[in-house]
Amino acid sequence: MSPIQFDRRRLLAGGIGALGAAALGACSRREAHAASAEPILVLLQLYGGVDGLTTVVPFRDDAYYRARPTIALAEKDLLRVDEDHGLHPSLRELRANFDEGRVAIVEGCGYPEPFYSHFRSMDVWHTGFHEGKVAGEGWIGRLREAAWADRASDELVVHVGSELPWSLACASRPPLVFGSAGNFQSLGDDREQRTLRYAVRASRDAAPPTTPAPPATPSERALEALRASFEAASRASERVLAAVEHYQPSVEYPNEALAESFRTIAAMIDAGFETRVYSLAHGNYDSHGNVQVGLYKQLHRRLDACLGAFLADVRRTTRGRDVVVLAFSEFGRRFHENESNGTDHGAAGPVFLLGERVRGGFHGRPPSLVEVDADDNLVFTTDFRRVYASVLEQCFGVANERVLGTRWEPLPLIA
Amino acid sequence: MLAQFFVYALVSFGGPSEPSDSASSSIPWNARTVEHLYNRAAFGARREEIAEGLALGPEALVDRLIRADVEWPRIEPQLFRWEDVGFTHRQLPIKGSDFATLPSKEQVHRCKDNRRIDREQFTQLEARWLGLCARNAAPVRDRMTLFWHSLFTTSIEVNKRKFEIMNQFQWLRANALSSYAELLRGLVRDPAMLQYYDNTGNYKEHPNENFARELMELYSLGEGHYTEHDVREAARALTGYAGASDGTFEFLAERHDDGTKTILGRTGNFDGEQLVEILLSRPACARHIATRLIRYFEGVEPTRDRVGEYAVFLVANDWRIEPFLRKLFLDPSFYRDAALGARVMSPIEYYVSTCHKLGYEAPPAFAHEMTDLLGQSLYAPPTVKGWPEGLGWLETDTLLRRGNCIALLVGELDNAPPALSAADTAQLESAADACVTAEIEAALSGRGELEMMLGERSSIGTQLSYSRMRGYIEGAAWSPLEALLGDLGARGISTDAELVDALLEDWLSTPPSAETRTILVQYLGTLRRDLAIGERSFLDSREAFDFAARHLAYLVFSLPEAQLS
Repeated sequence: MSPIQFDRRRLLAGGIGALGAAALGACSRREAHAASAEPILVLLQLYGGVDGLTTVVPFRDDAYYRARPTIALAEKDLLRVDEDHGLHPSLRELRANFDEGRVAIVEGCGYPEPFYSHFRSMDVWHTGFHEGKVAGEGWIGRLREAAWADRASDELVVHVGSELPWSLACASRPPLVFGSAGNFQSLGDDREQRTLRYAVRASRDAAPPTTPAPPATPSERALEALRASFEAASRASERVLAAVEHYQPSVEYPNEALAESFRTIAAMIDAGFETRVYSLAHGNYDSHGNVQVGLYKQLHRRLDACLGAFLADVRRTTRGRDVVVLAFSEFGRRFHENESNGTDHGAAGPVFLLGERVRGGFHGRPPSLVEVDADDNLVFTTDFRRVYASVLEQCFGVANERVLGTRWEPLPLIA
Repeated sequence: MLAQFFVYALVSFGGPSEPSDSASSSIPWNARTVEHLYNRAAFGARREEIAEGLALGPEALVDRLIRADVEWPRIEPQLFRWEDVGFTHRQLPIKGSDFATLPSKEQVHRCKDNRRIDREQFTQLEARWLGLCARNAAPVRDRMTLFWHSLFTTSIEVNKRKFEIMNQFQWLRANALSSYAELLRGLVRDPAMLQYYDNTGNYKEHPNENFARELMELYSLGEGHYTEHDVREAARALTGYAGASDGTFEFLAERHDDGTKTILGRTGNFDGEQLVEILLSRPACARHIATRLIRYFEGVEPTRDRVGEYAVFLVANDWRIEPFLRKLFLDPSFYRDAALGARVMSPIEYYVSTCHKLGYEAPPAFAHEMTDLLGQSLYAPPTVKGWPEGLGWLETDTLLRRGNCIALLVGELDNAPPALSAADTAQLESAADACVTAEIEAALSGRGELEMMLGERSSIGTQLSYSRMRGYIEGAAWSPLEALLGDLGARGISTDAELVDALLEDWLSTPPSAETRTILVQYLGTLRRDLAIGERSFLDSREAFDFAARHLAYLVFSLPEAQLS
């Protein structure tokens, strides 16, 4: 990020502070961001372990059909994207975007000594370290500290969902988190909310000034932090609600919870939130049993419709064209189908990047379907941290070792 | 297990009190400091407790809080036996067992039954413990139990059954005030801990450093007081220390590394027990534990000198916690201005102390849902480092969520989503059941893992949580008429200002600003118009009082001041 850009953003941030909160939500800031070149990352976590081979199908490889006699997808049903690969039949929007060069697929992503527990493996993906949470905060949390330590904004990282993924965890600069726009509000009635707001505001005004002298006691400091957080939450809550209420999407979103989250994110981007990283989740893809075929039809269809709508919606704005979606899952699944016509927890799987700035097509190497490991798992061909490294450098201009501890070789994923 | 009973009995009923510290005479003894002691050594104070404490004086009150105890009839956990449902204890299906010949429906059914029993027994333990806390029944012991559990982390998300965890919890609680050294000695043989760190997979050919590392970093010495070499060597000392499939400790001699190790400058053929003694002999150990204890109870980072003094005292008193806490609670510094109201309460503290002050104990299912929603479910800490402390609890919507939970807790339900209908509940249950069935079928047939906790901490939405909480509370709600009306009347409360002042004084230990008080009085004025009670006192109309008290409780406990203890 050049110093000039930084200054402009800071000015903008000042402008935001000066405007009334409600008015701000209502006014679209599309114009103000017209010249911006700062990518916005949307992290989409696919919970439960997505089967890569049911998503991006290597239909030329007989080994695939031998390993999956019951659940393999027939070539004729697939949405072919090149000579060797077809997408799951539910992924129509994804294919259309792929054809337009807006989808990058990195096959065979994983890491050495894979964990087969959802939690353990998720911890690895969330931190970027094999030790998981023992190693520290999430990779986005560390990005927040490495890249934007001097920015006080509490909306640079936002999670829309009920449980905060550890990837966003950051003690010094906690992300903005809310279940959904509709949930991000008080159960008190209007009068009670006003009463609380007045009481906190008046207490803050009456408290001893924080500059130049800091508050005297730890209790006063804690109170000030609590009051500030209360006001930040009320402000953010109002702004998010206003942004969502006033938003006019250019497409119709499906009637799904995931679509509501995507729509909220689109509304926030449109309303000029300073957010650089949004996060949301979809699932559950855990498909051990004979539900697998039906489950993927349903989950992939919903994913495809929501994601497709979001991409089409944000593409119409300059700011929206800077959106990069990164979709990942904590692991892929076993190579051979199991006796219940499902697949068990496995290792390597594909990672997807989507958006106008993405270099479309296949990256990395497909995992071998012949040389699987002793546990019958696909052996990873690209360490997922190389994908993180690419995002860190190509989206945020951050030397990846500052976040990932060691340097990983980026792939050419984002223009 | 018998031994644990003995220790418990001794701590509970025997032993002379420690000689009093002359320093305690210089403790400023007033309502604020008495409440401060209750906030830290217990779970907050009610008005009558403060009056009592004032009359007793520091030594007698500290003594009472430490000695207060209740019987904890041991909950004998049922062992979830993997073998009974067709698995080895590593969750691999056993081929050719009797179980494997059962019809698959029956197999799934038995798995589910086991899982249900396993979950329910833990729920019972959690409910009993939260109930004891809410009654301030054995306050210092229960605060210490929470301390040990957040120091010696173990998680139901990693451990795959509750047997070992329930034993650990009851062991920690029974020994909560005895010796740290004994706890550390027990820890290297604690099946829950060994399972948590997968120390069963720590054998001489492939040492696994997980447990050794956290034993040094978190449980004894603290970061920076050991080297990577020490971790590797300590891991070797812990090889062969395993949790057996029957939930007991097991030393696997053939997996133990009998070679010479050099740990923290000492060389020998050390095992786990000797490793613990080496750790205890390091000055960093006492300093680390003293720091953690003082920080937990004072809420302020202790000075170097203070840590030094307390560390020496801890070792001199055989690592016993009771004398340590007596010294701390009778130390005038404990009552210094900087410590008063300096801690942001954790969700469990917030729930428990609010209930205590309201004279209300919510149904156990509500208590679980609320503490879980606010981020502190028993035995589900976010990381090996346990839960955050103080301001670490503050996320964007922390106050919003806490306030919303309080609205439900006090029955201020105007805007709350409706309780779930029977049909909704049935639908949710059947969806969850289908997930569990699929997972069990897979585990029985394949090499997949059976994750016992899935389906327990589902990622349900917040609205759904609120709906469920409302369902739990309806019909069992807090009654301000019973809890407050008589008492306030007896105190001669009449005007709106008097009512606000009385409730602020009773419910908050950190005084709110004068502005807050004024705004709340104005708020009552608007209620007065709505309820058309003219100039009459709220206390003269049962309906108006019930309404006003619930709304005031919601507002007061939502305030930033209400988060502090």
